[in-house]
Order: sequence, then structure tokens, then C-alpha cells
Amino acid sequence: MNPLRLVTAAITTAALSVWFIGCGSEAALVTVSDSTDYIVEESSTIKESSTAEGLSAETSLSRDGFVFDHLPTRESRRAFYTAPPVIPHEVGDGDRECLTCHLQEKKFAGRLAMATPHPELKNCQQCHVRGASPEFMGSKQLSVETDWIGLKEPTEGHRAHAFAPPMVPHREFLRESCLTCHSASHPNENMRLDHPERVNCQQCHVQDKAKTEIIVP
Amino acid sequence: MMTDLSRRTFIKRVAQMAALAALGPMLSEVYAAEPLADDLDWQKAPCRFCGTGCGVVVGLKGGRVVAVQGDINSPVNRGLLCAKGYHAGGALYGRDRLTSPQIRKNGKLVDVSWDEAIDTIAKHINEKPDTFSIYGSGQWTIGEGYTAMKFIKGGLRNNHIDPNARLCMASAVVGFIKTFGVDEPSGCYKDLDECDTVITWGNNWAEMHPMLFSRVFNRRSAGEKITYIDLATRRTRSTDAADHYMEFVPQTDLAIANCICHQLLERGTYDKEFVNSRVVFKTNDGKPMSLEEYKGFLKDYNVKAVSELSGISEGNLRLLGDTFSDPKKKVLSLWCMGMNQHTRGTWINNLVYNVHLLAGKIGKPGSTPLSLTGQPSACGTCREVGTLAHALPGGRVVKNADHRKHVEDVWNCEPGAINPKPGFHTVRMFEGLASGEITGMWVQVTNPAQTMPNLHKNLAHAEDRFLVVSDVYPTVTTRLATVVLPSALWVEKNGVFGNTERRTQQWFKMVNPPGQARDDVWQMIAVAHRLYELGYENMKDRNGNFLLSVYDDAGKEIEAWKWEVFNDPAVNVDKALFNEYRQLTLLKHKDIAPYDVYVKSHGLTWPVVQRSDGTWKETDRRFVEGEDPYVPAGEGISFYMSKVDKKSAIAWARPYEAPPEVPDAEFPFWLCTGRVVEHWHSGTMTGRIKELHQAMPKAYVDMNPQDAKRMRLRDGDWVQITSRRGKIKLQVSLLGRSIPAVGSIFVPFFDETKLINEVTLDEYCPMSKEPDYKKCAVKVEKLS
Ligand code: SF4
Repeated sequence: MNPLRLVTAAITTAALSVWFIGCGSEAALVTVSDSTDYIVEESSTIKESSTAEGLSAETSLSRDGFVFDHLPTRESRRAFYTAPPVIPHEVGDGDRECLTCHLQEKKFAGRLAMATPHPELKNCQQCHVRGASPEFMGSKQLSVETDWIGLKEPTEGHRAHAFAPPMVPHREFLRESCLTCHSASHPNENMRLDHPERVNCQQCHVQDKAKTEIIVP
Repeated sequence: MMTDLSRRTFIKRVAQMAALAALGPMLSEVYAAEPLADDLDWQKAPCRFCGTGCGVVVGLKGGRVVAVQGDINSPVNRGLLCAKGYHAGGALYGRDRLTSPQIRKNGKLVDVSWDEAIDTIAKHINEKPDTFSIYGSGQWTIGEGYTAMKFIKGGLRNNHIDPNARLCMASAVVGFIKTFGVDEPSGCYKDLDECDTVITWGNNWAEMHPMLFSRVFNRRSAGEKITYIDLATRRTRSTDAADHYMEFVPQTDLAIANCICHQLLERGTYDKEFVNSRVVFKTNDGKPMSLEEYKGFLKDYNVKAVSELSGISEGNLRLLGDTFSDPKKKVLSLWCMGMNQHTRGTWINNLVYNVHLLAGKIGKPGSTPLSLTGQPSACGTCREVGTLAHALPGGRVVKNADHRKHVEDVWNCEPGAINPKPGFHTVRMFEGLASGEITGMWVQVTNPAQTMPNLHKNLAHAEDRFLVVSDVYPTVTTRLATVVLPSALWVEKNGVFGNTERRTQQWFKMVNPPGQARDDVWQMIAVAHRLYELGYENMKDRNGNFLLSVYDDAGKEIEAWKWEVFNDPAVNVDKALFNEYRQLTLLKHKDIAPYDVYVKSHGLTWPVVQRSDGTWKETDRRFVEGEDPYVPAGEGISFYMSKVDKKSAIAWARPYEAPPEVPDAEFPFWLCTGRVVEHWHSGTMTGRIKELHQAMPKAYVDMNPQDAKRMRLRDGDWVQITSRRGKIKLQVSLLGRSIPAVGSIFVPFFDETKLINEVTLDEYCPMSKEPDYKKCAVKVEKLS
């Protein structure tokens, strides 16, 4: 194979691997001509990168128990469940091009940039404020003394019985596009989806209105 | 209240279980086995922070706020919030909340009982009622502002009451009254959905009114063509969305507006029919002038001259002319502090109205001027209730004998009780505090020792006076106080706010305030009642009863000065105050509906009038036939509060005037101050919210990279900023949140450890008395 073709194949596989990783045995359903070899290789790299430093703490392997043991990290990134997450990486004050990386899922430097579920809202930092910066102009006093206890993350989406599809445990507002968060490459296995080809999510996963609907008297 | 909550939870669960039971016994058993851990009670409220007035829903659990979401049904924000709104709940739980009244004894604040605190304040006022003042806030609820008004204007009768809104909206108010004869905008947020061109006049709305910014630019995301012209003195997040960034020399906005008018008249592209029927012209000193004379006045504001003065290219000035000349364009002008905090704030407000009046772009969907407010109830409380030194509720003024009589009748105070002489406006009040003309001051819901301009002068001797501060956290102002009173915050009390678009929004108390903290309304009623008990005559009404009495629906007196009565969940003092105040809103057609109507709504924009079927209808656009019920049939657009002829607005020939302090050889930089998206005003609430504090922990100075290069300054370097009034040390930020024009700097004012207001100038607009925080001269020196 000539070098150019190799590069092209690698690019194709990079794009498709997102799709493949969560598909498990169903991966075979997708035909990608002669680049299959690279896909296998590439997808294993992605698996590794998704558990790379900084994200490993979030990854749960106990899928059977449906335990979301990534919670400590996820919770540290927002004040309460359904609050907008803070920005978990360095971002300069002048950096306003969030969508360069977050419009579609991107992986680099061992990290995964998730796609935004609401790309039509472009003034990102009006809700998502800088969070991870260890210091601001040499200042380290970043904590405040507070007794705030925010709403906790749900332990799991409710199931009527062991084989029933889990209900959606959160409001769909601003999260209408399920696959951006329930991406096949999400570092947390419990967030991943193993059947993305069934695009009509809500036909099986109905919203848990009792827990999520906001009824204002 | 609490019983109400548990009742709702119960009903919800019963409904849920019934639904499940229908699916079969086994299933419901499975479901019941899992506790409904996330079952929250949700209640509506307006956001605590800015004048946008977003609707939020507050998630409650175990007597605490645990979540805040945007209210999808709110016509303001339709479910979205900015970072401050989402995190508003955290403001309640900072560990250093004030939980006990304190009195300074031997130089130290010590905890005392409420009785002692109330008694101490009342006795002081009883000794010196004529020189006691209240300094309040655009974050006062309507009930709070109304109570403070009655306390000062009905009780102490010295009219010394003014709010921090003087520092924020006064120029807009006087601008409205001068042009239209009555305060507050004709436009509304629906205009954001209809405009095709937006012009901001010195306004960084991407950070300061983010939900309004989103409302326009979501339309662009959806494929609509929106042209955005950013007239400014620095590049901001708003500029990122701009099609045209026009950078002007500070203060030359006056000339730019006149230049647009000049072009409309020169080209003959003004709206002749509208101008002939709805606009009259006046000279700067109020004499009638003809259109021809006005045209003559504008000659000096030709494109070439204004380009030289303002720094905006002739091409861009013509583009502004084109924009307003095109009859098909729907142009929305927005502004806030850039135009209001201006030594000619009233003039620039008048001038932008001139542009829209001449172009006939007013009162049309999407094509109108819309003055934005900064604070959540600057409109509802300060402007409508009228908590200003010269004002009375409902657009009345103390100088007018009829107005005084209306209010005396509603308050049932002695005829002639209200003093016709206006009290001190804010800057004057603080000058009085420094000089001793004011001996005592009660500060509520604001932090003047951080936010007044020229602090060294205006807060001098504040700690030597009898200073009472009601607040929720220790602030730089409580440090100077004689008495500190712990207050209830936001959803810890009942309240009503009124936002930018005339929308009145009500909320109920949802959680208890911490410790001994109590409502500001109760604090004022309790002190007034102690004065009454002490025999202070003016706290008696015509019949010798307590002046600040409130009455329930059945007309029975509520003994609101007793905390156990005030705090009884079955008692709603806020409702009683609102319904009393309501009677005073009709004179200037600012009609508001009864309290209960707001309980069931997501806010209503006044005038709200009752239809024949008993329902209440709000008004989108004021002065527009078919929308505003007070416009006579067949009139189209009518400025019916006009002092000229009940239908015409006044176009004022306001000239350009240089600012009082301009950069020179010794102080070569312009200084502009303002907010950032993360923080609310002086940061006392948002600074205690982890997510907001870590995003923006301290103040900095934005500089233009060219200036920095010339001065060999790098990002993060320390500099000293000095004006004729004070100095401050800050770190330089380059290519940061904003990029000021060459020769100018920007410093945010939220950081209590870095008080930029020690540097700012307290010169104010002579008409509105609003100071200019946006321009003064400073020098910048590198510190090694
Ligand atoms: S701070 Fe202003 S824009 Fe932000 S959520 Fe509150 S009201 Fe809305």
C-alpha cells in the first residue's frame, strides 16, 4: 500500500472508530471496504487513550452493576446535577473558539473533547465558566467556604425490570441530541451506547417524568 | 409554606403510584422498592442577579435549595440561564453568612439581640430624624422599596432616600422623561426576535445581558441574517459576533448620534410623515425650534467633522447613516451603562431617541430603541415605586401638590405630611455623610464602600456616622457599620421584581434564612414601630395609628412588626404591600394587576389591564395602537404622556461636550470600569459561589497589546494605576476578556481586595446626577 493511501485509511478509521468502539459485536454490520485491519488497531488505541491520565478515574468497569463510579470526578465539575459543567482544561480568557474542538467529538493528547449537545448556542462561556485552571495570574486562592450541597447525580436510570430499557433520568432540554453525550467513545462505559444505529432513542427510553419533570405549582 | 410543599410532594407521589398500579401489582412493587431520591419540589422565581430578569425554577429538597434551572415557560429566557443564574442557589450557603444582629461596641462588632438592635436604631433616629437617610438598591423587592419610601417620605419627611440605581439607570430615566414625558421603554424582548440589525451603544451584552444576546444570535445559528454593529471603546465577547466593530473616542457617542441625524436630514431619508405628526424639536435649553433650525444645528455634525472627532471612519459613519435611512431595515438599538454612566448621560439617551424618531424606527416590531437595565428591579422598585430623592410612587414627584395628595391619601398620613423639597441624591447624600450634614444612614441590599465612585472622598468619615447596614455577608461596607443587620436573601423571603421590559415577576419564600437573619421589610417595619412606641409623632397616620400598618385581604391589621407574625407562613406581608402600592400605578398608565395574578403568571409586562371577561392582559409594546390599551384608536403610534400635546415626542438639539477629565501628559490613559459575566456587582454573593469564584477570582487590568509592548509589559506583570484621586495595584491581562482601544484600560469592580473605585471620578450628569464610571484619566506604571 502506498504511504498516501495509508494516511487516508488512518483518517477514515479515526473517524469511524468513534462509531465502532461501542458497537461491540455489531461492528461487523458496518462495511468499510479494505481498511478493516486498521480499524481494529485504531480502536484499541482509542480505548487506551480514553483511559489515559486524567480520565481513568472516571472509567467504570463494573458495567453489570450499573454503578456510575465516575461520579466523584463528574460531580467535581459541576455545582449540582444538571448544572452546566465547568471547563475542565486550560482555557485562555481570549479563547472563544470552543466549537473548534467541541462541535464534533475529537480526540487528542490522550483526551476526548466531547461534542456539545447544543451547538446552536454559541456564546459557550456565558454558562460554562473556566474551572480547571489551577491558578489565575499566580493566585491560588480558588476555593470558597460554602455549605452548598447540590442535587446529586442519579445512580442509574430506572428500569421496570432487569431487561427493560432504562428510563431517561434527566431533563431533555439542552440535551435533545442523545448521541453527543451517550457517545460510543465516552470514557465512562455506563454513558456509552452499544446500539447507536437505532437512532430513535426515545422510542424505548422514555423520560422518567416523575423524577425529572419540573412542575411549577 | 412547608406544609404546602409536602402536600404537593404527596399528591405527586400518589399520582405516580396510581399510574404504576394500573400497570399491574408486580411492577408497582418494583418501582416502590426504589426510593424517589431525586424527587424535588420546584418553584418559580426571577433570577436574583441582573436586569434581564430570567425566569428560573428552584429545586428544593429537605428545606434547602439544591438546583436551579431555567424556566422553559419564561417568555424572557425560555429555559436558558447564564452561569450566574444556574449557580444562584450557592449564594445562600456561603459559610460566613451574617446570622446575628451586631452593634459596634468599643470599636468591635458584637452579637446582640434583635430587640437591642432595633431599639438602638430607633433611638438614634428619634434624636436626629431630619438628617437620617436610607440608601437602597435596584435589588430591593417592590415591597422593600415601597416600605422604605413610606418610612422616609411619610415618616421622617426629609426625602433623604436614594438607591444605587442612581448610579445605574438615572440617565435613562431622565432621558425618557425629557423625550417621551414618562419613564421606561416602549420596546420589549420580542423585538429581539424580529430585528434584522442590532446596534449596541457601548454595551457588552454577551457578558452583561447574556440571555438577550443568545436570543438574537440563536436566530443567526438558525440561518437568519442578523447584522450586528458594535459601537464601543473596547473589543469584548460581544465584538466576536459583530459584523462591524466601530471604535470611538470616549464621549464622542454624542457626536456620532448627531451625525446619523445629520445624514438622515441631509439625504432626506428621514421618515417625513412620522416626524411631521409625532416629533417636535427643542433647543438644548428647551425653546421650540423648527425642523430647519434643527437641521442648522446639525451642520457641525457632518461626516467629516465627526469622523475626525470620534475616530470612526467616514465609511462607517455613512454605513450608520445607510442603516437608519433604509425604511425596510428593522434596527434595534441597545445600551446600558455605557450611555447611562456618562457625564452627559441624559443627552446621549435623548440623542439616540432622536435617531430612532427621525428614522421612524420606534414602536415597530424589531425596530425600536430598547434601554437595558442593570439590576433585577431597578425598574420595578426604583423607577416604578420611585425610591429616589425627588420621586413618589407611580411616576409622581414630591414637587407636585396633587401627587403628594394622592400618596398621602393612600398612606393615610396627615395632609401636608410629604415634604415638597427633594432630598439628597446619591452622590450628594454621601458628600453629606462625609461632611456631617447626614448623621445617620441605613444601607440596604448594596455595598457603597466598594461601589461608590471616588471612595476616598465619598466614604470619608462613614465610620464616624451612625451607619446601619442590612446585608447577607460581611462586606467592605459592614466593616464601617455601627449596626449590622442580617438579612434574608432571594428565595428566603417573598418578593416581586420588575425587569427591563416592564415585566413584573413574583416569587414565594421557599427556604428559611439562616440563624437570626430576617427580611429587610420586617427590619424597617420593626424600627418604624419602635419609633411609634417611642412617641415619634410622624410615625402616626391621620387617625393616630401606626403609619406603616399593613392589612390582610379581609382588611384586618397585620401586626407585622412582630417577627412571629411576619414570619407566619399564613401571613404574606409582601402581598399586602403590593396590593396597596398597586393603587398608585394607574396615574401614568403603568397599571399593574393584583398580586394573585402574578402568582399564576411568568411575569406580566405593564400596563396590565383587565378585559371585560375578567382576565388580565399585558402590553408588549407601549405607545403602539392595538398593543397598548391607552393609545386612542386611529392614532397608530402615540406618545400619550407627552407634555407637549399628548402624542409627540421631543427631539432635543443636544451638542457634543468634552468630558470633564481627559488624558494628558501626566495621566495619559482612559480608565473604563465594569462587570464580568461571572460576578454580580461587588461580588459579595457570586464571590462565595465556588464555580464562579474559581473562574474569575480577582480583578485585573485589560490593556491593549500595543500599549503593553511600548511599556514593556507582559501578561501577568504588576502595574500601579493612579488617578488624581487614588491608586491601585493590579496585574496586566493581554488579549484577555477584553481588548481596550489603544490608550485606554479596563478594570472590573467586583473584587473587594482591589477597589478600583478609589481611582474613579465622581463627576455626574447634571440632569440625572448619575456619575461616569466609564472614563477618567489615569497613569499606568510598571512595578518590579
Ligand atoms: S444573571 Fe441575568 S442573564 Fe444571567 S440568568 Fe440571571 S437574569 Fe438571566
